[in-house]
Amino acid sequence: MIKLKINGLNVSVEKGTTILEAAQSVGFPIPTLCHMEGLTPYGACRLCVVEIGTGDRTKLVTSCTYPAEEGLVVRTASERVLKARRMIVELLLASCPQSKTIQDIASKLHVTQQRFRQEHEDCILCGLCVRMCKEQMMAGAIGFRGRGQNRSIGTPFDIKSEVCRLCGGCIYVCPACQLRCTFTEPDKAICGGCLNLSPPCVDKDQFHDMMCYMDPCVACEIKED
Amino acid sequence: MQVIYRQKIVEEIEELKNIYGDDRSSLLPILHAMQDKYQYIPDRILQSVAHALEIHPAEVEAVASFYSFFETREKLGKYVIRLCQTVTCDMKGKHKVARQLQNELGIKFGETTKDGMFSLRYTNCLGLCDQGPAMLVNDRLFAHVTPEKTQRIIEECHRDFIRSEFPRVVPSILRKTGSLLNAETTGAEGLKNALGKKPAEVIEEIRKSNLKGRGGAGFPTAFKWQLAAEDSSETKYVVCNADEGEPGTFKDRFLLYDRTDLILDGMTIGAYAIGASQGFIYLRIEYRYMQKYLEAALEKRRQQGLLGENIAGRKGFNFDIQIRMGAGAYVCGEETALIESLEGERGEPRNRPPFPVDTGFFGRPTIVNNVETFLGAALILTKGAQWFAEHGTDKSKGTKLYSISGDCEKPGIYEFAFGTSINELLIEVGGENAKAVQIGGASGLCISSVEFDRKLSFEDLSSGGSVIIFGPDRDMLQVAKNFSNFFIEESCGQCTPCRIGNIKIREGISLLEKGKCSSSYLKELVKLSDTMRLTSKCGLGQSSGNAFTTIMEGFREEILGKALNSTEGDIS
Ligand SMILES: Cc1cc2nc3c(=O)[nH]c(=O)nc-3n(C[C@H](O)[C@H](O)[C@H](O)COP(=O)(O)O)c2cc1C
Ligand code: SF4
Ligand code: FES
Repeated sequence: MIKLKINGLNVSVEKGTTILEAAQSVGFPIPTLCHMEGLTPYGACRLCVVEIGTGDRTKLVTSCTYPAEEGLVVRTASERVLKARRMIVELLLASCPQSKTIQDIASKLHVTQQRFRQEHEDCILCGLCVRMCKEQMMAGAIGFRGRGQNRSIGTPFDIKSEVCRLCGGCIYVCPACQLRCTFTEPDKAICGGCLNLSPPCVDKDQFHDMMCYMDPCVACEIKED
Repeated sequence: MQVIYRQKIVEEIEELKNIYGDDRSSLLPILHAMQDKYQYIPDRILQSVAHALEIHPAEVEAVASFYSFFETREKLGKYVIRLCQTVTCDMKGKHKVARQLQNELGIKFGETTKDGMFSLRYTNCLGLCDQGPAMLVNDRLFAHVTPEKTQRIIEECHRDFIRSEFPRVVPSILRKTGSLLNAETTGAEGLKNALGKKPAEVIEEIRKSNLKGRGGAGFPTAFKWQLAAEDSSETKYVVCNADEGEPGTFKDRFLLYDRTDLILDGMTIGAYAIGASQGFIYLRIEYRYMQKYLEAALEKRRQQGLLGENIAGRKGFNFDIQIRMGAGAYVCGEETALIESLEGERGEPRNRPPFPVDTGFFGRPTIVNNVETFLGAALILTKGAQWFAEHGTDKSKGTKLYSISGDCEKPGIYEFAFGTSINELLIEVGGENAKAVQIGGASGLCISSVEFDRKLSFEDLSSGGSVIIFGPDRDMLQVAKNFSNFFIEESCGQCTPCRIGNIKIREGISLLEKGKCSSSYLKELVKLSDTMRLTSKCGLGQSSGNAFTTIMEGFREEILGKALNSTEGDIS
C-alpha cells in the first residue's frame, strides 16, 4: 500500500492508483473531461490538475495520469489549482461554448465570464471517441489527423470507415457533440455513422444479448412508438 | 499522369519491410521511402502500408498527417523548395525572396506548379541562421539566398543540376573555440579509457565533471545514466537527440559534421555505462543531406571494431547505432515525443511519469541526450572530469556552444564558458547596439538591454544554445508574432492550454498590431501564458508563452498603442 496525503488527509491506496482515483475514493471532487474509466488515461484536457509537493517545490500535474507515490502531498483545490482550472475551462468554453458538459464544469468552478473570443468549434479534441472506438469497441475506425490548430478527428481518408460498427460509442462519450448527432451539419459528423445509424439492437433477433449503455437510447425511443 | 498500381505498391512495401523490419517502428522509414518514390503518399499507399504492417488505416493516416514533410493530399513537384520562415531568416530578407519565388514560379506558397516541377513551401528553422535567408531544395541547402539568386537556382533545377553530387553540407561559420572544440584526441581515446573502467566508474567520472544536459533542460547526465544503469532490464537504448528544431540553433548540425567520431564515442560510452546494445541517432529531416555522411562514418567504425560485437576488443560489449529520420516536427525534439516517433507513432509527448530512463523506447530503459552532451561525455572520458570542470560557474561547469545569429557583425558558432554575460557576448559578436537578445530560441526569454549583465548559465539564462540578436530598429511585436505562429504550427495539439492558448495569444498580438488591445486584456494574456507554463503537458506548451511575456514586459512602451504599419508583417 502507498500512503499519501490529500488535502491534509492521510490516504492509503494500492500501487498503480492515480491521484484522481485516490482523491475520488475519499470524496474530493476533481473535474475531468478527457478521462473515463475503462479508457487509457490521456492527460490532454488538463482540467484535472492538482498541486503536488511542499514549500517552494510544488508543481501542477494532471491527477488522471499521475500515479500515487509514497509520501506525496497533494492539494486538489488550492488557489493556484483553481485559477489554472478556470483559465482552462475558459479556453474550452471559447472553443465549444455550446457544450453542456463544459458549461456545467464552468459553472461548478464559478466561471461567470469568458475572457476570450468564441469560436464555435464542434470538437475539443479530448480523444474520448478515438479511445472508445479503439479500446472498448476494438474497431479503430477513427483517429487523429494533423497537428496543432489543424488537428482533427475523423475516419481514414474522410470516407465511411469499413470497420465502423455503427455502435454509436463515439457519440455516447462525446462531451461536445450534442449538436453533431442531430444531423444539422452532416459533413461535420465524425464518422458519418450517425447519419445512417440504425442501432443494431432494433434488430432484436440478431443482437438479443447486446448490452446497452445508452440512456436514454434513441433506438428504444423509436421502438416504443 | 503517373498511374499507381496497387499490386506494385504492395510488392514495394514488402521489400521495404525486408529492409526496415515489419514492426511498427518501420512505419516512418517506409513512408519516407514511398514519398521519395511517388512524391506524395496518397490514400491508396497509406492503405497498403496499413495492411502490410497490420495496423489500422486510421493510425497510418494519423502518423502521415502529423509530420510536415509528408504530403498526403497532392503530388509534390520534382523539386520542393522550402524557404525558412524563422525569425532570423525573416530579418535577413525572407520576404523579398518569398515574393520573388512566387513571381518566378507563378504559384503561391503551399502550391505546386502545373508542370509538376516545383512545389513551394515554408518551413521552420533550417539550422543555417548564421547565413540566412536559408532555403532547402529537396535535400540541398542554400545559404544567403537573394531574390536574384532564386532565379538562378530555379534555372539550375530546370537543367537538373541540383540532383548532381554537389558539396552537400554548407558548413557553419566557426567563430570562437574553447576547450571543447580545441581538445585534441586520438581515435576513440575516450571510449578506450571508458572500457578500461567499470560502468559505474564511468558514471562516477561524469558525475565528478558535473556535466548537465546541453539540450536545454540541463538535467545532470550522470544521474540520468545511473537511473538507466540501475534498471535490471536486459534491453536498453541510447538515443542521440539530433532533432535540433529550436529556432536559431545550429551547433548540433556543426558537431554532427565536424566532430562525428567524438559524438559516436560519446554514445558508445553511454551504452557501455548503462548496458545498452542498440543506439539511435534521431536526425531531423531538414538535415537529410547529412544522412549518407553519417552512415559512412558508422560503417567506418564498424570496420574499425568500434561498433558491432566485442567493441575495441572488449569481450561481450556489443553495440550498434542506427540513423532514424524525423519528418518535420519540432515537438519531436522533446524526448518522449522523440521516442513515440521512433516507435512509428505520431510525435506526441507522453505523460510523465514514467520517464524514459525506465520506460522509454518500446517500454525499455532509454537515455536520450543531446548531441553536445555526448561530445562532453567523450571528452570527459578523454581528458578527465577535472579538465572539464575547470571553466564555468559553481553550478554550471564547463563550456557550451552557442549558435549566434541575427543583427550582429559576426554570426556563427561560439564556445563560451558558463558565466559569460550578455554584454561580453555582444562585444565578441559585434552586436553592441542590440536592443534585445533572445536566449533559447522561440521557447526562450527575450532579454532587453537593461538586463544585459545577466549571465549564460543553468542558474540564470539556461538554453540549448540559441542566441538571436535584435538591433535597435527591429519591431519586437513582429518578433513575438513570428514566435507565436511557430508554436501554433508546431504544437502537437494534444492539450488545451497549448493548442488553444497559443491561438489566443496570436489573436492578442493581432489586436496589438491594430492598436486595439486594452492593457487589461494584455494582463489576461500574460495570465494565460502563466497557466500554459503551469499546466501544459510538455516543455513546448510550458515555454511557449515565455517569449510573448518577456517581450511584453521589456517593450511595453514600444508595443502598446501602436498602430498598424503598412508593411505586411515584415520584421525588417
Ligand atoms: C519542444 C521541445 C523541443 C526540444 N528539442 C530538442 C532538440 O532539438 N534537441 C535536444 O537535444 N533536446 C531538445 N529538447 C530537450 C529534450 O526533451 C531533452 O531534454 C534532451 O534531449 C535531453 O538531453 P540532454 O540531457 O543531453 O540535454 C526539446 C524539448 C522540448 C520540450
Ligand atoms: S504542451 Fe503542446 S506540444 Fe506539448 S503535449 Fe501539449 S499540445 Fe502537445
Ligand atoms: S481529465 Fe486529466 S487531463 Fe483531462
